[in-house]
Amino acid sequence: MIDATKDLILDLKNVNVKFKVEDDTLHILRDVSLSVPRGSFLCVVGESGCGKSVTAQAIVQLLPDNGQISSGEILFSEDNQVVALNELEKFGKQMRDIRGGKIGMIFQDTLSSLNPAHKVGRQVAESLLQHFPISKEEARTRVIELFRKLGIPDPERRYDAYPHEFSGGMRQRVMIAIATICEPDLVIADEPTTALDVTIQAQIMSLLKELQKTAGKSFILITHNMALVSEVADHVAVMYLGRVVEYGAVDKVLRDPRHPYTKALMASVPTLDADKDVELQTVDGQTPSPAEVTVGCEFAGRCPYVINACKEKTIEMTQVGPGHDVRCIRLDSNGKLPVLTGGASHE
Amino acid sequence: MSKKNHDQQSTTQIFISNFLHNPSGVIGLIIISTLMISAIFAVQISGVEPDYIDPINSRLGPSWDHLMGTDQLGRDMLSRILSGARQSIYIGVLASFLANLIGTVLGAIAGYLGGKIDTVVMRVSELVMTFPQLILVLIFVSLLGQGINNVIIVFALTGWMTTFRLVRGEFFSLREEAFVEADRAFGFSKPRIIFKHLLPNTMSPIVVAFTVNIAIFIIAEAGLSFLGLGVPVTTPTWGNLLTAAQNPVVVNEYWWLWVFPALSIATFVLGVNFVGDGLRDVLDPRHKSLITKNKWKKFLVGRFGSKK
Repeated sequence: MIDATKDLILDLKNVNVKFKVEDDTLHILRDVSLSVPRGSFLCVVGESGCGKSVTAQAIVQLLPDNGQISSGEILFSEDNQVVALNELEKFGKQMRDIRGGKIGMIFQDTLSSLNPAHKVGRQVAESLLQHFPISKEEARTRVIELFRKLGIPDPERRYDAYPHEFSGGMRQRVMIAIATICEPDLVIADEPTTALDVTIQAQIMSLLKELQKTAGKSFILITHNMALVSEVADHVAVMYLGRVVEYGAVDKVLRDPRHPYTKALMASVPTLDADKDVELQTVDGQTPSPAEVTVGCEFAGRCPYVINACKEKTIEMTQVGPGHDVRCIRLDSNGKLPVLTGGASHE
Repeated sequence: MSKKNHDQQSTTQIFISNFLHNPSGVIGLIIISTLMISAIFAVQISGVEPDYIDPINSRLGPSWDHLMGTDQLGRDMLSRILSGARQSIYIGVLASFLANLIGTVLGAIAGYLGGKIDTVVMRVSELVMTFPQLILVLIFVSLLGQGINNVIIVFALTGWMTTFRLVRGEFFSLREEAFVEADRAFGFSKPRIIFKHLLPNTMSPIVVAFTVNIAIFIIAEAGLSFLGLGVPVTTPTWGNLLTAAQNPVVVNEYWWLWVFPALSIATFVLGVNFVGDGLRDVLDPRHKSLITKNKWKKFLVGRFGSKK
């Protein structure tokens, strides 16, 4: 196992992000702490609007203009030196060198993430030329080599094709090529397979997994697909309304979820062998707006285990096992939730 | 390596072949190039210098000696129209290029960055637009004095707003595209994103605006010179030649003095607009691979061809 305390490629410490919307200030990320050991695969899961993508944007300092990191630290280890990304100038030289050069990004929508006016090969090569002092010819050969490695057929010819001439899966391979051509240490993939069908999804994921294994890259995968998580992740962070509610090794979190939200999330995953007469489990209620919750546990309004104490103060992370943290006060000394009694406590 | 050359060539080849299969583009190109080539060889074609005064042969109608007749001083009209074409085309193309350059750069920056810069440039453009253009031109001309290059500067300074608004609008929608976010994530600088990544996506409206502006400026030059405010009367331009029509006697009795310059303007402007249409169809990268082979047939046979 990797020594998690020593060799962290990325370490988020109590990151808070606030958005100004007209006169209101919305607290979008609350005390998010995540750590990515070098060479490991972290999945960030949660429903829409829970702050997964904002976390990714905060890491690479690409929050929208009205968003701001209000406190916390984002530490990135660059060539054995720890850099606080949140202190770098947003569009300064050092930050731009890290973006794309040291941290690669893969996006969800492949068609709109590629420039329709440029040939795909050029777009990949440009990323390379931006960060390395090499000739155009050399860049071209390296791009074609990578295309071949990523399973793009006839790479010499496809180099000169435009994005609209590619299928969705092939475009995602091109995106992966752009993200990885500069040999970044960390790749952040924001729902890379959501727009693709299942077989292509599997191909893309195994491609990413292979990159992790062979090239030793670290990955942060943002997704809401639990099946995907169980296949590729080493660690999982479950987010709810801007907070990490559960964090741990994948087999611990998915097999033995402790937080009521994680439990509900796991129960809602449909399985192929499920009886079709049995209704799908859902999480009751709706995600509240970030403006609504002020004190206490964010999940309290939907939680079957809720007690009054849940709504009174901010809940701290508690350790329930080695490297397994849960943000819930209803856990007993063994880290187990109490057995529900007929939903009486549900409000 | 030969593979690469072949591929690069084929993109250009596709562009050329698409353009050649675009009827209006080809017709426009033929009109423009014919006029331009004859303008270059003005003296050789007409056989007379445009300024050669021959009082005995003044105000002759079109004949084999003088295909477009002669003016009050006996100067050959064909020679004057062709050398006037040099000046008019020069003014139109250069002024349009400069106006488009100003409009594009300002529009790209204002559209991408938004905020205060955008507000300021936008207000300036509105100010220039709401001011009657002719009066603005008169002010500039009286400040700078008459002369071809001054006319070009005046046109560029008063004509950049349409392109500016066009490009700004395009950038407004383009900057929200996911690929721009991706560009930022790859660590590209703002100028690089604006001019290398976004600008190619707005090329087709800019090219169209460029051609439309050429037409507008050639007509504007004619109007300005007609009023005696544009290019000094000693230089033949299409506008200056038209000035003859100020006199009702000329309009009635010596039609060749104004019909031919007016026809030249109309023909050239038509040609430029045709090329603009053709380029707009062909330049859009999203349409590059579309096969446009049967356009000529449609153009020539029209609706009747498709009905059977």
